[in-house]
Amino acid sequence: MNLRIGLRGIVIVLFLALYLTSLIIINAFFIEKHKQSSEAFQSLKFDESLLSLTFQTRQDSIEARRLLNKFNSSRAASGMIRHEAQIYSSVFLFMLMILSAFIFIFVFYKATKPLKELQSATAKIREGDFSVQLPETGIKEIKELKQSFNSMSRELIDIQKKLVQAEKEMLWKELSRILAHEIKNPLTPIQLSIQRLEEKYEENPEKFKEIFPEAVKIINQEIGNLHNLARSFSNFAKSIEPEFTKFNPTGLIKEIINSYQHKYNIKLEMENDIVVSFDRTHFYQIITNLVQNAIDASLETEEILIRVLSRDKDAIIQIIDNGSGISTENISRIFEPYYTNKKKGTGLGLALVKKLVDLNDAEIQVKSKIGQGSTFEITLKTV
Amino acid sequence: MFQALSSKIISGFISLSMMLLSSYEGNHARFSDISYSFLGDKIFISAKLESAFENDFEEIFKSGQQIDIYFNIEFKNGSDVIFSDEFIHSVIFDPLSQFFNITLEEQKENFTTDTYQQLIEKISQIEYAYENTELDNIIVSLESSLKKIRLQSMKKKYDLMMLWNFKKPKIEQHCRKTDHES
Repeated sequence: MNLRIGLRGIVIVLFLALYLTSLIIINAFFIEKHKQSSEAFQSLKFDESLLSLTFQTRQDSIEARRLLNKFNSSRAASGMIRHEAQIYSSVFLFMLMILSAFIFIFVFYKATKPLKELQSATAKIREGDFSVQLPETGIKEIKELKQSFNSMSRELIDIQKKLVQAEKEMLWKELSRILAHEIKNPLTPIQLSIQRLEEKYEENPEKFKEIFPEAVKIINQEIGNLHNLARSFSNFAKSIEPEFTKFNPTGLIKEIINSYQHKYNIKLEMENDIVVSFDRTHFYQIITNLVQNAIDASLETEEILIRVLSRDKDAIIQIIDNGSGISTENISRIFEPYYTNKKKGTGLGLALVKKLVDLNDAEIQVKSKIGQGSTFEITLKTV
Repeated sequence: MFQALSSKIISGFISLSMMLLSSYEGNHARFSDISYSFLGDKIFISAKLESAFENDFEEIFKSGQQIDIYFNIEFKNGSDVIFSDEFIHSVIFDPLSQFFNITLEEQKENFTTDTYQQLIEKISQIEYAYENTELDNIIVSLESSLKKIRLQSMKKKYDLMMLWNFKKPKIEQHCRKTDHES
């Protein structure tokens, strides 16, 4: 439970303390004055000697009784007035205290409610919801504040739209640049091969036959490269929902590595009794991409280590290379689409890995040192 | 019922206000336990009003006006009222002789006293006899009140209940015949 009293609570408590204390002090002052006046009044009495007087006639005694009664009656009335004043003033004061405290709390709550609304609206904006608008009501200053807030949120929406638009344009430009570059690379050897074939066909038909197979091989190879490029882009653009299945990752890793091991120095260190729940195809794509990435970063003879181990309730897969490593400024961008440091890279491999890892509720992190290599670590939930 | 509840709320609010913000004490009038005895078809009731006249009443009694203290007695069988009666204790003060003349209506007696203490003793004591009851078990309810008075040469009336902090003293008690009385 949150017991923070808050600014509103402090102001209310301070007001009540000061206000009620002031009233009580004033009341105590008047009570004291009232006591003094009561004491003074109590001393107001007929002299006892008056009662010992002998009245000569009946008329005298009637008149004396009338006067005494009038005096005593006035005295009693003044006593009643004093008691009445004390009782009613305390009742009215108590009512005033309760009423004014209620009015203060009500007015204060009404006055500070817009601030609370502003606070929650600001929190929404912080969370990225710029569509929040406040009703433009209340006193002049509050109304102006709300109007400013609303115009600010509208401006934020406009800025957000412009940013998204700018980002899209930037992505398209970047994508166009990469595509142009990637397409241009295979097109040049294709064009050269065709030119060479044309020249030989016209100048020296005998020589044409000799170079024809080699030129066709080059053209086929470059068409294959174009095909691979198209497939990479297509894979990344696909909307891919994971189909979770339970399997032992070590078996699948061994299958993947099998085709690489005759050419590259790949070692495995794996705990066998691990079962994970993951999309098998996605797992295959992730490991293939990471292994290819490690191969690209290393020399052919350099060792690549794949380690599978369990930690608490997680399975950890590490792909460790001793290659060139990634610089500090680049390491934060390696999972961005179309970002690459390779001469022949699309920048989609690691972006695809990150996308697939996220889709399968797993985590990926990378540690790297320039000249010492990199370690990619995937954390998966075990079953 | 609503009237009783609202009067309780108002008197509670007044008491709380006075307790917090006033030095005025007034009188916290209450009845002592009712003493009773059965004799044949009669029941004799005796009770005393306590702490009712000690503060601030002397001035009122000495005002020369007739001051009446009202008593209401009810005899109930369960929740049914079988008999009710109202009677008065009156006080008039003579300023020349300094005597209080007291009338106790239910006792059909008149007294004269010159001491305030004795006046309190007399007007606080209630002695009531109810005839023709065949019930062995009866509930007796007793309530006292004061009315507004207009003091001599004053235009306004003053509510004497103020001196009892606007609370009417009340008591209700089961009275049962003993084997000996039966």
